[in-house]
Amino acid sequence: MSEKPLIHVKDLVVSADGQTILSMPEWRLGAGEAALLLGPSGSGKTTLLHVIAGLIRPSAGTVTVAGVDVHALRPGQADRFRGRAIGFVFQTIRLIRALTVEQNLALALNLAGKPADKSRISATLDRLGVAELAAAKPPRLSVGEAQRCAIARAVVAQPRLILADEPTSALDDGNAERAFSLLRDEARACGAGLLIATHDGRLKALLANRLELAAR
Amino acid sequence: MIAIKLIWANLAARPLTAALYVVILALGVAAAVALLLFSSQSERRLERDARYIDAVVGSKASSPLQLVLAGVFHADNPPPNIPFAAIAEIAADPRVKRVIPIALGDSVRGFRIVGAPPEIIALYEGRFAAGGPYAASFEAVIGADVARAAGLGVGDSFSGAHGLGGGHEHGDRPYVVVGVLAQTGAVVDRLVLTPVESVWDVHGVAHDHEQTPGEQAGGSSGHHHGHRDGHAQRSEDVEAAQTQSGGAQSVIFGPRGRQSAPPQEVTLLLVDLVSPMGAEGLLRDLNGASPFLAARPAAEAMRLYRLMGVGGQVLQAFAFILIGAAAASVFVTLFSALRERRGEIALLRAMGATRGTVFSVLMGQGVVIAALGAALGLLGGHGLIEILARSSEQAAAFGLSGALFHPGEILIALGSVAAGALAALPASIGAYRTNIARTLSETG
Ligand SMILES: Nc1ncnc2c1ncn2[C@@H]1O[C@H](COP(=O)(O)OP(=O)(O)O)[C@@H](O)[C@H]1O
Ligand SMILES: [Mg+2]
Repeated sequence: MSEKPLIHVKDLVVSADGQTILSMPEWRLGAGEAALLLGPSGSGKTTLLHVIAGLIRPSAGTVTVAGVDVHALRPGQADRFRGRAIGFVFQTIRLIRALTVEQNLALALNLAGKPADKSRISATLDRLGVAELAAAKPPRLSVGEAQRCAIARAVVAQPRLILADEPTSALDDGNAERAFSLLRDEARACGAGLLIATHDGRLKALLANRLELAAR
Repeated sequence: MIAIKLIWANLAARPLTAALYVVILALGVAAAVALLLFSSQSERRLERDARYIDAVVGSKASSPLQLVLAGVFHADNPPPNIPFAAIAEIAADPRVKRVIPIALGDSVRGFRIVGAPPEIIALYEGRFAAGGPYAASFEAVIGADVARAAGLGVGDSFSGAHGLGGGHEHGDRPYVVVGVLAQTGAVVDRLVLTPVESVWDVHGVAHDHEQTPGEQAGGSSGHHHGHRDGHAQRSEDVEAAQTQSGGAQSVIFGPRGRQSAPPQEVTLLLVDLVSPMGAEGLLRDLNGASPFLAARPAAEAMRLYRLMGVGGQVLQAFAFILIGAAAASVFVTLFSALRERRGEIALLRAMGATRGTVFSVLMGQGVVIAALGAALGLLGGHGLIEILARSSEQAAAFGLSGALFHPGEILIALGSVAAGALAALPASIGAYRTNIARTLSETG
């Protein structure tokens, strides 16, 4: 662990309906590091990702991302910080359907406060092997293609942190493994930290750095 | 910027649906705007044209509305003629200030030829753009619209056709334009004015005509009445009427300096009263015992306007139903799509979009559809009125023009945009309030 962690969770308590659904005394992720967030369904993996992204407010404790206390930001600031610093990859919601793949990436760049640089978009799509899908609308893509494009969308603005929530659970073995390596390679390429929440046993062997949440 | 791109992308993703709503709304706005333009323009025109004349007197075989339509608005077939003697009889009434007889029946290029003494020009507050008043038979003064549409100027000649368009031409004796009137915005713009004798000559009515005595050429309409006897008697009547009223009245029945040409029949009389207060009494008297029918243009115009108003209200209701239907469709579409789009809204927020952005993306879709519909509808409404004005002579008589703007249109346009915004509001609030974390956990 480095001196200045990318993510620093301290004395975190998240509750809903008066029940504690997640508690975590301290956890860090160093800059550029990758980690698996493991645990059975309902153990709080998604909740932790949302807390880190500033989408859920904890009932106690602090979370800093790249030195920023994400829950001290005003709502609009938190949104803009998320757009700039974090790239999200999900299990099923991947792209805006009304936009082409290319436009989805342009939107991600705009939301990160960056110009929609065409060469950057095509370079990203190229790296992920989906350059020929640039003009395609998401409903026409296969599941594997869509997840590659979604990874491209998450990394195109070169975020500090990539949060992936069950990114491989909807994919077959081949696609799951490819998606995982792409995520890891992309994170490495842009120097981003990577946190993959999953209950997908296929990924366990692939990453040494693991954070295990206990079943409640 | 981001919101605008997303608005367009969302609309463009379902172009037919968006286009359908735009068209429905545009139809409603067009109907509402056309109605507004029609009613405001025709009302102004009716009011204006009715103002010049206190009363119209014509044949009992006619109706008050027809008298006014034919004699004041020049938008109906002329009623049956009345004998010349009517002039003296009406003029004899002390409440009457002035009587202007007019003879109708012919037209040129769809514009009516009105046989009348030149005083009618002053009655219509006409100013000459070129030339001057007529002094002799077959000289004509034309309104500004006639000059423009028929391409006629001072010195040009033209032939009249029997009836109000489509009739055969009286090729035998052309009229010569001696004056062109400046645009007035009133009915005289669309009239061809000429001495009463011209109309009689065309129709072969016998009257004392110094140049062509006893002329009966080309009589096609059977207006031959041969009242050649008793001229002196009538002239005396007229003089008597003038004397009776102590010189306050003037009776005009032909071009100045042509007293020796007593006319035979006229279509109707335009009557100026000494005081408008006398109108009710005069109308009662005339419509009671006399062989004539009298009508007040102002009253008939109001009746006509009310009549049109009923039809207008039905159409107006229909217009607003269309606008409402478009707004309702926008509401249903956006709101029912909200559930399936929750995931995308959450994705947008996860990508860094603010609540305000997702709110404006949904609002924008309703507003853009409404604004496009309103813009198209405004154009359509003006186009409709312009087409109407060009296609029908009756409509032209109402002084319609698609080029005139009415301030009420702003209200209709703003109202439609507000309807679109209101229709999009529930879905937009839904998007604004979307709990991203829960949506992502549910659909992730
Ligand atoms: N908004 C909420 N209200 C109440 N309980 C919630 C809410 N969100 C999540 N939970 C509960 O918190 C626990 C953790 O959920 P989640 O983080 O989605 O787990 P995982 O992603 O590991 O499957 C679950 O028991 C879930 O039912
Ligand atoms: Mg989960």
